Formats: sequence, C-alpha cells, structure tokens
Amino acid sequence: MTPLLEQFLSESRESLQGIGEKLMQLEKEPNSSDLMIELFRLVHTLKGNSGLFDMPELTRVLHAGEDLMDAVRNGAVAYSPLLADRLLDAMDFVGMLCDEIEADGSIHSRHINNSVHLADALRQLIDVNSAHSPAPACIAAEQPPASAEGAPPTQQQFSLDDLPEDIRMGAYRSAVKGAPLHWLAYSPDEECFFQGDDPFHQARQTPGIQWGSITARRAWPKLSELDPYCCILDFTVLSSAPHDELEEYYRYVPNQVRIDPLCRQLLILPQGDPNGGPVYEDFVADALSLLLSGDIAGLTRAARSMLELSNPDLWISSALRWLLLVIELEPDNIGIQEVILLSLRTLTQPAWHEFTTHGGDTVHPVAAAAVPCATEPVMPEPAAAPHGPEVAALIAAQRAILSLPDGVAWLSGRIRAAAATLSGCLHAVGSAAGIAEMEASRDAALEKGSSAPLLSWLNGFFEPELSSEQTEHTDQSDETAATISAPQQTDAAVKFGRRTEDAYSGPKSIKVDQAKIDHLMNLIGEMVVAKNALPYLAGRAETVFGVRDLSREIKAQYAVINRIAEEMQDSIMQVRMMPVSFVFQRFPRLVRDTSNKLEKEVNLILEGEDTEADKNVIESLGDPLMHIVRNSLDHGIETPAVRRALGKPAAGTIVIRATQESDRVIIEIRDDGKGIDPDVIKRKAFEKGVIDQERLERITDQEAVNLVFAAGFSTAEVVSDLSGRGVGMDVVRTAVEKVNGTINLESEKGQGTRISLSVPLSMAITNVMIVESNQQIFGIPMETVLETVRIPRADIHTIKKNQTTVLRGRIVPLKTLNSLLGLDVPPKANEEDELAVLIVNLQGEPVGIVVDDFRETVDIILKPMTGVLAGLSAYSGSALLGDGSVLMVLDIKEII
Amino acid sequence: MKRILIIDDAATVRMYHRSILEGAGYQVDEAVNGIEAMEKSLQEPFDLYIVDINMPKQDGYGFLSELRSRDISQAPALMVSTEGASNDRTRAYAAGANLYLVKPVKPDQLLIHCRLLLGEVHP
Repeated sequence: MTPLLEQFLSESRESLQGIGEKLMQLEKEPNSSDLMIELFRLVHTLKGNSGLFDMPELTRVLHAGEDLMDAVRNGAVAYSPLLADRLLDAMDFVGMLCDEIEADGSIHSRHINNSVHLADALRQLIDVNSAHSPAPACIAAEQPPASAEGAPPTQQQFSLDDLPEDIRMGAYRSAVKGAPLHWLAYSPDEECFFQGDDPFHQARQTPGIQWGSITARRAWPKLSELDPYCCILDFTVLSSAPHDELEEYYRYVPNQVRIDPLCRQLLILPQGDPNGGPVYEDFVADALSLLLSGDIAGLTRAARSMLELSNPDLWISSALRWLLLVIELEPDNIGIQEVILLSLRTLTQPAWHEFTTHGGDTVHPVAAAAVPCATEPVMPEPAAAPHGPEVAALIAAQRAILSLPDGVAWLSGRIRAAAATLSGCLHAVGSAAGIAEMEASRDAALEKGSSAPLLSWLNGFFEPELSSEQTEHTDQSDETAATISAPQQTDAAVKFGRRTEDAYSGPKSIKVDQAKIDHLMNLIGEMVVAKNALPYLAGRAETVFGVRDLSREIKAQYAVINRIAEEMQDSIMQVRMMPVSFVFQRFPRLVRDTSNKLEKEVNLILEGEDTEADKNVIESLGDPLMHIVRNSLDHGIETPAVRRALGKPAAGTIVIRATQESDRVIIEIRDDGKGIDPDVIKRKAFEKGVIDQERLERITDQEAVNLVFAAGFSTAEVVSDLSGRGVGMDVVRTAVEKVNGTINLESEKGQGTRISLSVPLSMAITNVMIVESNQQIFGIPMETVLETVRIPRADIHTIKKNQTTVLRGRIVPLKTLNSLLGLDVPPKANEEDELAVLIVNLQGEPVGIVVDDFRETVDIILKPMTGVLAGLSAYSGSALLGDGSVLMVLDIKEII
Repeated sequence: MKRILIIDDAATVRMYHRSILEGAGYQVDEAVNGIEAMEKSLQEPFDLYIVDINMPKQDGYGFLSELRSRDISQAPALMVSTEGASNDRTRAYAAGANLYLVKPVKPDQLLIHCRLLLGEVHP
C-alpha cells in the first residue's frame, strides 16, 4: 500500500466519523446552516480525495452525497431524517470499502450494484426535492427520420431536427445569454454494466441537460435471444454545460462519449408542412427591406401579422416564430434574420453553412465569431495556440482576469499577479523580449488603477511590432516597485512578529503506529524490571561482599534511575491515554437507529467524554457498553404509549457518564426505564438452576438483580433482534473483568436501572502481592486482596467438610492454596501456630486463602500466557522480578 | 529553489501534490486553511500558491483576495477544486487566482502549469 493510499484511508476514516457526528447534531438542529456547510465540506473533501484514485464505486457514492449535501446547503433540498438515513447508509458503505481497500488493496467488483443503488438513493432525494428539475428526456422508440442536410452531427442517429421546437428555442435563448451549447453522443460499452456504469442515470444526470434521447444501436433481438446485460443503447443529449464540465462528468467513460460544440444558429430549423400555404414573395421582399433599413419594429409587426394569418402547423409559421425569437433576443444580429427570411423564399432549411463562409466575413462579427465553433472549438487567441494548450489556457485565463471589473481592493495585486503569470508564460515560450513591454503596460495599469493597459497589451501582443520606446521607463518603474514593496513587507513582519515563531513550530501532533508505542511500552516494562535488580545488587554488595559503602552508592543511584524510569513510564502511559469519547461516539448512532427500529423515543446524554484511560482499556469497553445500552433500549425503556400511561415523559433517557476516581475510570449507564423486578429474577434464576432453593429464600433484592450477571442467565422471554442473541450480561461481566474491572448494577422497579463499570486507568502496570506456598512464590493481584490476617489454627472450624473461620463476626470460607493448586502438602504455620490467610474478594464475597507466608507487594508488567501455556487458566500471566526470576500471577476466580 | 505553498484542508490532496512537486525539485510547504497559509506567507512569500477553494476557517477565495489586497505576495496562484459550479472559475479569477484547474489534476498537467506559472522553460 502506498503512503498516499494510507493517508487517504486514514483521512477518510476521520471524515466519515465527522460526517456521522455532524449528522447526529443536525438531527437536533435541522436548520443549522453551519452544520450543513461543514457536512458538505466533509463529503466534498472525501470525494475530492477519492478522485485521486481509481475507485469508481467509492467516488460514485461520494459524488452523489456531495451533490445532495450541496443541494441541502443551498436550501434546494430540505434536511429530513430519511436524508440522514440514506447518507449514513452511504457513509457506512464507504467505510466498508475503506476497510476492504485496507485489507486487500482494492475494491471488489461485487460492490458495483450497491454503489449504484446507494448513489441512486441519494440522487433521488435531489430529484424529488429540486423545483427545477432538468427537462425530461424524451424516449424515442422508433427509428429517427433521416436527418436534414446541413446539421453537423450527421453521424448521430438523432439530429437536431428531432428536437421539439420549444426545446430548441429554450436552448437558443440560453445560448444567446452566453451559455455554451453542446451536442453529446454517449455510446456506452456493451459490457458497461459489468464496469459499474449506469448509462441511463449517467446520461439523465448530464449537467445542463436540455433534451435527451435513447436509441437502440441495432435492431432489438428476439426476446428469447435478448441479453439484458448487454447494453446496446445510444444516448444523445443537448446540454448547456461548459465543455470541461461535461468532460469531467464523463471522465470515467471518455472513449464512449463524443462532445461537439454546437452553434446556436443550427438550432433554427423551421419545421412543418411545406405545401400547406402560399409562398409570399412580397412578404419576403418587404421584410428584407425593412430589415436592411433597420426598422426592427416594422419587421416585427410584419412577421406577427403574417404569423396570425398562417396555419401554425405550417413550415412558414415555424420559421416566423424563429424570426420573432431572434428579433427579440438579438435585434442587432441582422445576418441571422436575413438568412431566415431568405429561407422563406425557398422553404428550405436556413443555409447556415453558406452563412458561415459567405456571410461570416461581411458585416456581422457576432455571427462570425459564433460559427467557427461548429467545426472546431478553438481558444479565442489563435496566435498563442502554437505554444501548446496550457499556454493558451493560461493566457486566456489572464485575459479573463484582466477583463473583470476593476473595482476591487486588490486590483493592484491582481494586475501584478497577472503580470507575473504572463511573464512566466513568456519565459516559458521563449518570448522573453516581450517582457519589458508587458511590464511597462503593467506599470501603466497600476498607475491608472485599471487593468485596461495590460489587457490591451495582451490583446495586441502578437502584433509583430515591438515598440522599444518604453523600455527605459520600465527599469525605473521596477525600482519604484521595489521601494514600494519593501517597507510594506517590513510592516507586515513587525505587525505579525509574534506569530513568527509559531509558524516555524510545525505540526502540533503526529500520528504514530500503535505497534511502535506498544514496543516502547514493552521496553519500559523491561526497564522497570531491570532497575528492580539494583536493590537486589545493593543487598548482595553488602551481605555477600561486605562493601557497605558501595551498597549505599548503588542505592542512591537506584533512586535516581527509579525516578527517571517512573517518569518515563508515566509519559508513555500518557501517550497511550485516549478519551472515552472514542467508544462513546458510536452511541448516538446506535441509539438513534435502534430506537427507531423499536419505535421508542430515547434521549441519549453523554457526559465526561474527555475522561481518559489507556487505549486497551478503552477499546475493551466498546462491546460491553454496547451490549448494556442495547439492553437498556430493548428491555429497559418502554414504548411511548406505556410511558405516558405510567406518567413518565414519552421519551426515555439514557445517560452514559464517565468520571475518574483516583486510578480508576467509572462509567455509569443509567436509564429511566422499567427497571428490573427482583422477584422475576429470583424466579428465573431458580428455574434455570442458577441458584438453589436455600439461596432463593435468603437472597436480598440487591443480590438478586446482580444475578443477571450469572452465567447462563437471560431474562428475555422472546429472543429479540437486538439484545437477545444468546449472550447475556455474563459476557459483559467477563469482558469487564478481563481488564481488571468490576461491574455493579442497581435497579428500582419502574424507576430505571443504573449499571456502573469501574476499570483501571491502565492495565500496563499491575500491583501484586507475593505469597509463598510450598516454597514457591505466586503473585495475587492487589485489587482482589481485601486484607491479610494471621489466624490461630484453633480458630479454624470445619462446617460440612468446609474449613471456615469467623472474622469480625462473619463466617469466611477458607481454602488452602496448596490444595487449590493440587499440592498434597498441608499449609505451614508460624511459631505461634498461626496460619497466614489472605482474604480475597470473590464476586463480592470474602474468601480466605491459606498460604505459607506473605511477602512484599510489587509493581509488575503482567504478560499474558501465550502459546500452549495460554490454556492454563489458573494463571492470568507471568512477570519478571528484579532478581530475574519469574513470578506466576494467579487468577483467583479460576482456581477457586 | 522555487518555493510552492499548497493550501488544502485534505491531507491526501496535499500529500499528492507535494509528492509530484517535490519529485520535480520544488521546495514545498503546506497549509490547511487560509489563515495558516497567510501566516506562512508573512514569514516569507512563496513563488507560487496552489489553493483549494473549500476549506474551514478561511476559504481559498478569502485567502487570495487578502493575499493580494494586503500586498503580501503577487506571485501567481493556481486554484484547484473539484468541478463544482461553473461560476467557480470566474470567482477564482475575481478573487486573485491566475489559473483554475479541476481536481484531480494529473501529475504532468500540474507540473506543466507550475512551470509555466513560475516562468520556467517548457521541457
């Protein structure tokens, strides 16, 4: 994968997430134009990026999304939940494609259908909503009649003759106003459906479409032989969009499209019955004289009265309508009017080609300029063309820039920038001689405060004479220009002096591969272990070698290294910290989609999203939280009708709040739903054998509701689509406990449920207590240890074969570590015949573990068991100690 | 060495343009919006600006007209944006751009135009 593609994927993910968030916000404030603009920008950026790669599936959907958001932004389409749904679907699809690109490096072709479908779904919203939808495409079923002579695209199956008069007139109107006119023939590849094209849609959505038609390329085969996956359609479109816009729109099928510029005169094709009426020779003669004498009003009157007298279906009427239209739109364009009038004499189509050659160079510059485009779409400055289209385009651009109205604050900047650009062009084409003259015109333009002098130089540059008189003037003015600009720059530098350092400071954050940070974390782990060897070494220096001073020095040095190592560890932990918003951000969408599906109304409130914890911890919370929220939505929150009947607000509330308490993060999920009925839980638990009769009688309500966490417990009567997937809350509990977290549930029937998760800020460093058993040492995580006590052997009683003791008035069951580990050795007692008992918390109940002796507590980096050893569930992992020995850390829950 | 500033909010596009231009031996700097571009230009004006239109905080039009009217740099500016409405081109010119190209710009096209705008001899 190239770095560019990697960058694209990472930026796309950010954009997708942003789009999701913005849509959620827009749902709350549907009229916020800021949000719409931002949303458009995100989709726009995403689409722009995708254009750099050859990913038509991706681009198609994003393009549709961009168009839709553009329409929303401009107010042409109103925001609606349906729109949000479709856009979210489309973005999910884009996200899925991104995943696929990441995994396989490309997009599988099977996504074509989805892509087209999603894009269509988005475009539908534009079409339905926009008031001025483009002119409908006329579908012609029959073969077109033979095209009239004179129309240039004779190779097309459709000619201009086939266009209804009103459409041609409409196109003519817009062309007169300056809109370009293009005749577009699109012949999709026969295999186009397999390339992901949607030719009908493509043609239908052609920018600036005025008219369109579809024909079969060849006679339709018999139905039995018809291959529906073979496209034999040809599309013809009349468009008023600029050439490059059409080219851009058809950029994926450039070989299948032919775009011809069309002269507007060619639209003037009178149609109708030629034999139905007399040819008024007098009228034509009169009209011609009126035209030549410049009596437009007289000509109009004459044409109108003639039109009233004629049957509207006649050819002559059609020609008169055109004449009137041209008079209305271009009263000065006598040439066109003359040709129309002359055609009345012969009742043949106006001779536009003749007009081009003979009439063009006479008196009518408008017609002359307009006609060449029928044959070749050249740049307006033929002299520049030899130097390549890029230079020509640049010069044309500067001409356009200099032709803009002068009244802007940055006029002098505009002139100078255009001059700099022109100078670049001149250098590039080797016409350096013209630079001096150009600069003189530039200075004249700057002096006058108008672009005109430079523009006239530009227009006249390709004249052969080069006036040398202005050359000396140029040098001088260059000097003045230099003296003027210098102080301004100093001004700017002084004014923004403070920002100087900022600009050099570079990016504020960097992206780092997670593997690198993990590696760093491992290294610091080893460092912590290695440094722990120093006190051990100091001890040996003193006891074994008897060098007390050296021992003291090692200890002093150890203190320094210890401090640095701890700070380093802390810093690396900080790098791994990320806000809980990482998991929270998916909930607005989840709640929205789910509540819609369940037809419930739910307000989601997120609090403390910026609370931070280690990346691993945060990631491990995703699934449990999702499950809890789904449970709340599915089983907790009642339907609006039920809620109203209970006197609650129709919309339920789910609050997810994160807070930090010392070195733990507490996440609380609270809903105001129906709560959990402890009696139901008790009955169910008993029925399912989770608890026995005896426990059923004694269990408190609080304990009962926590039974939902017991393995194999699920209260859902009906397995629903959402949460009743056979996994219950025990999975949630297991997942939370995996990251050394605890989970607690409180519920009040009818009032709601509150679940709180407590997880450590970081899992990297674990504090364990070392205990001794049968001359081996084991680690026990401190968060499970409640206390350590020494109990006289006499205080240990056996109740029903189980050893117990009474600790502060409460019976605590006792287990010996030796027997739990399968060692057939009795626990050792100390001189006073007391046994060392570690009281641990086992799912809320205290249990005593009898060990041989207690040792110190240490901070370790717990490494999970890997490979074959991973099957040893009795251990949660291993760690290296300072003296290099391995400490096995026990998983208390598993061994008891 | 000629200095070119790429102003675009899309990191992918910046990277794309940068790789093309750096490959051709130009010194390239980046900015994510008009405001950052302005700060960098105040440091030391560039020889050429490649400007996107749609950016947060300050868009390409705003940046260019400010660049021109405060006379910070009159170096040529190339405006690059995804097709969009046809009036984008006119607006770009009015704001102070010297050329408007439609994204995605092919590498050779970008280089040809940059060389022209910088007055370097056509290869």
